[in-house]
Amino acid sequence: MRFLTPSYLLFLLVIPFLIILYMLRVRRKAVLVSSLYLWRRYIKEREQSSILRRLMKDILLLLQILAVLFISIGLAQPTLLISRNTRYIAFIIDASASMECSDLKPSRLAYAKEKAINTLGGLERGDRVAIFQSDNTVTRILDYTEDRGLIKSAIKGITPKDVTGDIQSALLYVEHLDRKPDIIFIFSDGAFSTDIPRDLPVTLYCFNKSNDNVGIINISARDVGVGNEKEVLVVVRNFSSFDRAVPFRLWDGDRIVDNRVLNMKKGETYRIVVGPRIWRGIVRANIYPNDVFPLDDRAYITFPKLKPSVLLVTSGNPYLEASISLSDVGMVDKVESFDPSIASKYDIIIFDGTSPNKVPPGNYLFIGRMPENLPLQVIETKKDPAILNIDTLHPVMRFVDLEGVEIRRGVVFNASQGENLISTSNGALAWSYDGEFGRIIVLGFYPEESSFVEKSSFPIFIRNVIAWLGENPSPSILTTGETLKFRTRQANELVSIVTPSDLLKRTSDEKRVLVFNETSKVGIYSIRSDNGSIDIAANLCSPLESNVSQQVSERKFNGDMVSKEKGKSQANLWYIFALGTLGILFAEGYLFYGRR
Amino acid sequence: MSLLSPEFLSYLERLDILLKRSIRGVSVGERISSRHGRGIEFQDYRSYEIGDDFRYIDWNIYARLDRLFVKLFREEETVNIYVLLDVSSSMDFGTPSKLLFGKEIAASLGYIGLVNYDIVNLCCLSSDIRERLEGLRGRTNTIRLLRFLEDVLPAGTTALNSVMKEIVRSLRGKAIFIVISDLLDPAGYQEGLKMLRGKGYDVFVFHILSEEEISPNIDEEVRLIDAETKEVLELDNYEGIVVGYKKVLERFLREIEDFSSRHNIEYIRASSSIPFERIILYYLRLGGWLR
Repeated sequence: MRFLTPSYLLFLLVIPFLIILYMLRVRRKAVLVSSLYLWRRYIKEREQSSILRRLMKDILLLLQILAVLFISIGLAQPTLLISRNTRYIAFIIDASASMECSDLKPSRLAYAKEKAINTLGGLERGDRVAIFQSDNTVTRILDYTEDRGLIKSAIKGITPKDVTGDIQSALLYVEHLDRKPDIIFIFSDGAFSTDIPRDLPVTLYCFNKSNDNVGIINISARDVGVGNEKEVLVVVRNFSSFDRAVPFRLWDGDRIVDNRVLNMKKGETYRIVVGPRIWRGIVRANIYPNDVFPLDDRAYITFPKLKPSVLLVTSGNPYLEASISLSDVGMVDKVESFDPSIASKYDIIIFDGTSPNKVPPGNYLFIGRMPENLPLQVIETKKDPAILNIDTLHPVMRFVDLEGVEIRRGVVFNASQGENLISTSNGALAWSYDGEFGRIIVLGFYPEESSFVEKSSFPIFIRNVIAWLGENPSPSILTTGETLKFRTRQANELVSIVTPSDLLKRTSDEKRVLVFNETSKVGIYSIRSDNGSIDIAANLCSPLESNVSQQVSERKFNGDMVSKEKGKSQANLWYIFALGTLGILFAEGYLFYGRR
Repeated sequence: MSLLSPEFLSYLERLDILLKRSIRGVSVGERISSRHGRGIEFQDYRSYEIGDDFRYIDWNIYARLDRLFVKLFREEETVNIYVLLDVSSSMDFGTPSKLLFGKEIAASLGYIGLVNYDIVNLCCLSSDIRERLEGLRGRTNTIRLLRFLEDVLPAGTTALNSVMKEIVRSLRGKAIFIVISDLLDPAGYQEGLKMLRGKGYDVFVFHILSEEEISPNIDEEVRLIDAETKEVLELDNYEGIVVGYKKVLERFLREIEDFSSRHNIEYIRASSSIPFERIILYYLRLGGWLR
C-alpha cells in the first residue's frame, strides 16, 4: 500500500490530543464517602462480572482514536497496485474561441466538458486518461492517470481562450507522444475544416447548434502619406446562412466616427474604410448582430507611437541637426557638454566629435570619438581609409549607399563584441552593439571630414540610426495568442501590464526585452514602464474561428478497443476508510446516547 | 452531659447487660460467678474433703445420712465490660454522624455497666488504641465516662483486627466486649473478633451504618473520596450503579451475620438515623443484650 498524499498522515498527531482531551473531559463531582471499601468491592465484582461493561467505558475513546486513524489514512489516499489491462486514452478538449458560442447554454465548452466527464464514467477501471487542451497551441493538462477525481477536476478546470483553434496540431502532438493513446476522444464544436485522418483511432463529439454569426475578420490602419493621417480598414463577414442587417460603429476614443448599418447577404464580406484622419486614441470597431458568437463583434486598433527623445552633444553640426530633424523623433535637446545626470531622460544620446571617458548603459551614437568603457580597441587613426565591406543587412545600413564617399581621416578599431558595419583592411570604421549595455553605434570618422554628409545617404543613415536606437519591437496590434515583445529602457525592469481581465507584473530580461505571451483575451493590453504607457490591441479577427458552423461530422472509433497491455494500476482505498469512519462515528453516537 | 439526658439515664438504671453464661470475674461483685464460693445463693452439695471449712458442713444431712456434706454457694463477682468504640474518620460520616450515634450507644451501655457495679473500660480505636478509660466502677464515674466520650474526636484509619489483638494480649481475666463500629475495614474484622471469642469473652458487635451508606444518592459520574485515606475512586455513571452497590452491601452484611452466628457473637445492626434511645430501650432488649 502506498499513499498519494502522505502529508495527511500528520493528522494522526491529533490522537495524543484526543487522549489528553478525553482524560480532561470529565470533571466528576467529588463525593465524600466513609470508606471506599465497599465501592472497591463493587468495582471489583463489576469488572469481574462484566468485562464488556468495562470495555464499554473506554470503547468511546477507542472508537474516537480509530476514527482519527481512519480519517488520516483516508485523507492520505492509500492505494494498492493491482494488475489490470490498461488502455491509454487521450481526451482533447477544444477550448478555442468558437467554443464560447452561446447556441448551447451556457456554452459549447460546458457541453463538451460535461460529455467528457460522462465519457469518463463509461470507461473501464484501469483505463488511463490524459487530458489535452486544444486552442492555438496544445497543452497537456494532465498526464495519463487512473485517478478519476483528478481527471474530472482537470476537465472542469479548462477555460476557453479567445484564440483560433488548431485541432490538427493537437492530434499531431498526441500522436507523437511517447505513449501513443489507444483511442483519442475529441470534444469540439466541429468548427474547423481540417480533415481528421481516417487511420487515427479518433472518436469525435461535436457540440454545435447554430451557425448564426457575423464577425469582424480584420482591422488595420495604413498611412496615407499626409502628415499623421491614417485610414482604418474594418472587414466584416456574414457567416450566417441568411441575410443580416448589422449595425456598425467605429469609435476613436470615446467619439463615434462612423455609424452605419451593414446589409449583408449570407456569406458576404463587407469592407469599411474610415478616414483618412488623425486618430487620437484607441480605435474600436463594434458590430451588433445579436448572434451566437459575440467575441468577434468587436476589434481594436491603437496608434502607440513612442517617438524617441534625443540629446545631441555637439559644438555645432548643421548637417547632423538637419538630418535628425528629418528623422522620426520626439524631443531633441542640444548641449555642448555632457551631464551624465540627465542621460536617463533621453532615449538616444548622440556624441558628435566628443565623448566622455565613460558612459552609463543606454542608446548612443558616437561620431569620431568614443568612450573607454566600450569593448573596442583603437588601432590607428588612418588617412584615406579604404572601405572594404559594408554590412548592408544591418538595419542601420539599409538604403545607405557609400559608393563614391571619400573619407579623409578615420579612426580604425577592433571590436570584441557587436558587429562591424563598415570595415577596412585594418579594422572597423563603423560598429554596432546590441546587448546589456544598450544599443550603440560608433562612427569612426567625422562626416565633415568625408564626403558622406554631402550624400543623400547621410540623413538616411541618421534616420536608420535613430530608428534602430529608439526601436521598440512592440507592434500596435496583434492577434490573440500571439507573443508580445516590448523593449524596456533598462535591463530587468519591472513592467506593469493591464490585460482585459487582470493586472500583471513582469520583468524584462538582460537585453531589455520583455516577452509576454498571455494575450489570449480580446481587448487592450496596456504596458506601463519607464518608457511610458503603450496600448496594444489584441483581436481575434479570424475567419476560421468566426465561422462557427459545424464543418466536420461526428465520428466514432469502432476499431480494436481491446486492452493493449497489461499494467499495474492503482486501486484507491480511501472510500473504504471513509465508509469505515462513517460506521465508527455511527457506533460512537449509538453507544454514547445509548449509555445516557 | 449532652450525650445522655437525665431522664434517659433514669431509664437506663433499670437495665442490665445480659450475660450468656456465668463468668469468672476478678473481684467480688453483683454478677454470678461460675466459681463456687462465698456467695449467699445456694448452689449444690458435695462430699466433705479434708480441709473444707467446717462452717459449710450441712449438719442436718449429717444427722439424717450420717455422712458429711458441705454446702456450695454461687459466688457473685464483678465483670469487666470493654466498650470498643471505632473513632476512625469513617465514623465521622452520615447525618447524624455514626460517631455521635456510637458515642451515645457506648455511653448508654457504659452507664448500664456502672450502675450494675461492673468495671467499665472504654477504648477508642482507629489504627491503634487512641484513648482509653479503664477501671470505672459505680455510678460516681458516670461524669468521667460521659466527658471522656464527649471529648473523643474522629481521626485515623480503621484497623480492627490489630487493635483487638493488642487489647486481648494485655487483658487478664474474663470480660465482655462490646464492639461499636461500622466494620468498614479493608483488612477485615474477623481475626480480631475470633481472637476475642477464642479467649472465651462474650462479644457483642454493634454495627452502625449511615443512611448515605445504605442508600447512596449518586445520579451522575462522580469522584468518590475516602474520608479516611483521602483516596479517590472515579466512578462512571451508568445504569445500575446504586443497585450494584446495594447488592455488595447486602452481601457484606450477610457475611457479618453469618460470621457472628458461626462464632456465637451477638450482632445488632442499626442506622445512625434511628433514635438511639429506641435502640437501647427496644432493639437491645429485643435482641437479648439487656434485660
